[in-house]
Amino acid sequence: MKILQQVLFIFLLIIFLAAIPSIIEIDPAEKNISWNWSGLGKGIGDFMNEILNGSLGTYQIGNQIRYISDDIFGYFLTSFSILLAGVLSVIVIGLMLGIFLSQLRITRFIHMLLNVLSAIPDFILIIFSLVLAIKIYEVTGVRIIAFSPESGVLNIWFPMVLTAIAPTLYLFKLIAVQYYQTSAEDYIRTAVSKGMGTNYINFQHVYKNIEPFIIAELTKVVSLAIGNLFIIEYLLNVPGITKFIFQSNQFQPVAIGLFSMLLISFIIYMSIRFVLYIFKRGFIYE
Amino acid sequence: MAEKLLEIKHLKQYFNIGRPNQVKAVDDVTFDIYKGETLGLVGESGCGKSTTGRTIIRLYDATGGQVLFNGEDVHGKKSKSELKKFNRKMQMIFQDPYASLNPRMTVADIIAEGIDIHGLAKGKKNRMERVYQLLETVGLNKEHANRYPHEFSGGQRQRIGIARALAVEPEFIIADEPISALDVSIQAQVVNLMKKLQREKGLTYLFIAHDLSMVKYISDRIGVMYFGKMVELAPADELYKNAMHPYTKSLLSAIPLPDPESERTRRRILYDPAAHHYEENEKVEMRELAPGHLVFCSEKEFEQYKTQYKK
Repeated sequence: MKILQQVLFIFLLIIFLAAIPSIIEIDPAEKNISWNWSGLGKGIGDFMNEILNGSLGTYQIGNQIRYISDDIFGYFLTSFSILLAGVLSVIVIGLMLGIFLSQLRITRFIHMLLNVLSAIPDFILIIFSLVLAIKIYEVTGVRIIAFSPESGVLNIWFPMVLTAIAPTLYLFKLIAVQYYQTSAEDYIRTAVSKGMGTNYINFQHVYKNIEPFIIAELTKVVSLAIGNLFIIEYLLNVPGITKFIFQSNQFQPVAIGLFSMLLISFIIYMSIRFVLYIFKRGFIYE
Repeated sequence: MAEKLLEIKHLKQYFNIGRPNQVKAVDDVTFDIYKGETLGLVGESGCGKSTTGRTIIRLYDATGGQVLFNGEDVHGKKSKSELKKFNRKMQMIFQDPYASLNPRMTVADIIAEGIDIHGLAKGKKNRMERVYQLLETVGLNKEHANRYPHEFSGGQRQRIGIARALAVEPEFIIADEPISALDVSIQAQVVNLMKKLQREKGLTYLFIAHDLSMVKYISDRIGVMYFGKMVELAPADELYKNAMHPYTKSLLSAIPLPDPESERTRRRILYDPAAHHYEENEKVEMRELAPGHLVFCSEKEFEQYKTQYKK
């Protein structure tokens, strides 16, 4: 019942968000904003009609009108792969630096660096990374990024890296704090006094106790990554799902875009949970 | 005379060495522990009792001195197999039964961890049999094996901690305030269990505590620590009857008695380290006042204590 309520609430929220451009009207002559609530009803009606007729509708790019169904699969796949790679790297880097390699001296230096970086807002980090990539091209002639959607990997790998930055800083800080807290517990001292190795203690005792925090924060990590994806796809001209949201203010593409984004985040969340489960079953004695 | 199991010689454990905030947690401490005995270690909070225990078991690398276990240097360079052998012989029970058990592991896994690492069980069935046996030894039953620590009371958790320590058949157990976090009614149960196990398995204990009446009850000998130094070491009865060092006297005067009349008239002796008036090059060390009764004092104080000593 609770899940049904949540699903209904999310559905209505997305519909409302998608309808906002058609509800709000700006009167340039009067210089004021007016609310046109009839736009909401019309938008929902059209949207439901299209869906019930087995069509996703159309969207507009410049002067072109295209079918959403023609482009949605490619856009979905692009956004999904960027987000999956980004969130997976967040988990891997967070776990490696936060737990398994935290004893190394170089990791301590990286800890310090990441702590400094985490004080900088994520959109500044993204813009700084873009400027850096351009400077690298100017100095060395090596192309790191490409703004053309036809550039293949060059148009994809940099967004993957940028998507991972802010969530990595967030998750790493969380894991590092939990690690220091957990490693001071008496059961860790007991394990040390029994002569167990660092790796064994990290896997059997530390990871087991940090895992619930990672799972609890996973939704936050995915939402941070999605927030960054909006900025990155727009700035780097990536042909992802946000094209439906940014390219037009029509109800249909915005609603489809937001629903697709929700589906992507759900699949990513479940995939990471599955990866963590496999990791636990594979490496940790239960 | 019983055989020495552990010899602690001039043990030093300093923290923040070379910095302005250097701490001498354990400073030149020397004592022996004999096979089958319980040596109680008492002193106020922060005097270095727990650090002494942790340094003995190698939780900390000693700054100086030696810890000899069955004649072998514990802190000396050791191969992996030697270390493994040593780790099996020496176990530790911690103060807080809530923090000393991994909340994400079942009781069976907690107890069997040592068994697995040292390969003491052949197969899963044998492993579980040993776990059940250990649970019964500490007064729990086999139904408890698949539960998690949060499902137990403090006393039961401490019993699990004891079972975990016993799992590898150790010779020596460092009990770091094992009853401090327990309810008074449970404290006696746990101490009696430890005494019973000592009789049955010939264990040797280093019992760290600050409950002086409980220490007297369980210990054969008692060492008193103050500010990182051992100030008095004597057989339990002897220490309570003939305390010589002013700090020991102060500590004993703080023991509450279950008698309102004597509590009203009880005079607390305060200890002031400046009262010793040691001269600059005066040698202050542990001196034997009577057989087995050592006091940390200067030559002048030693002569004074000898006259005060009641035979």
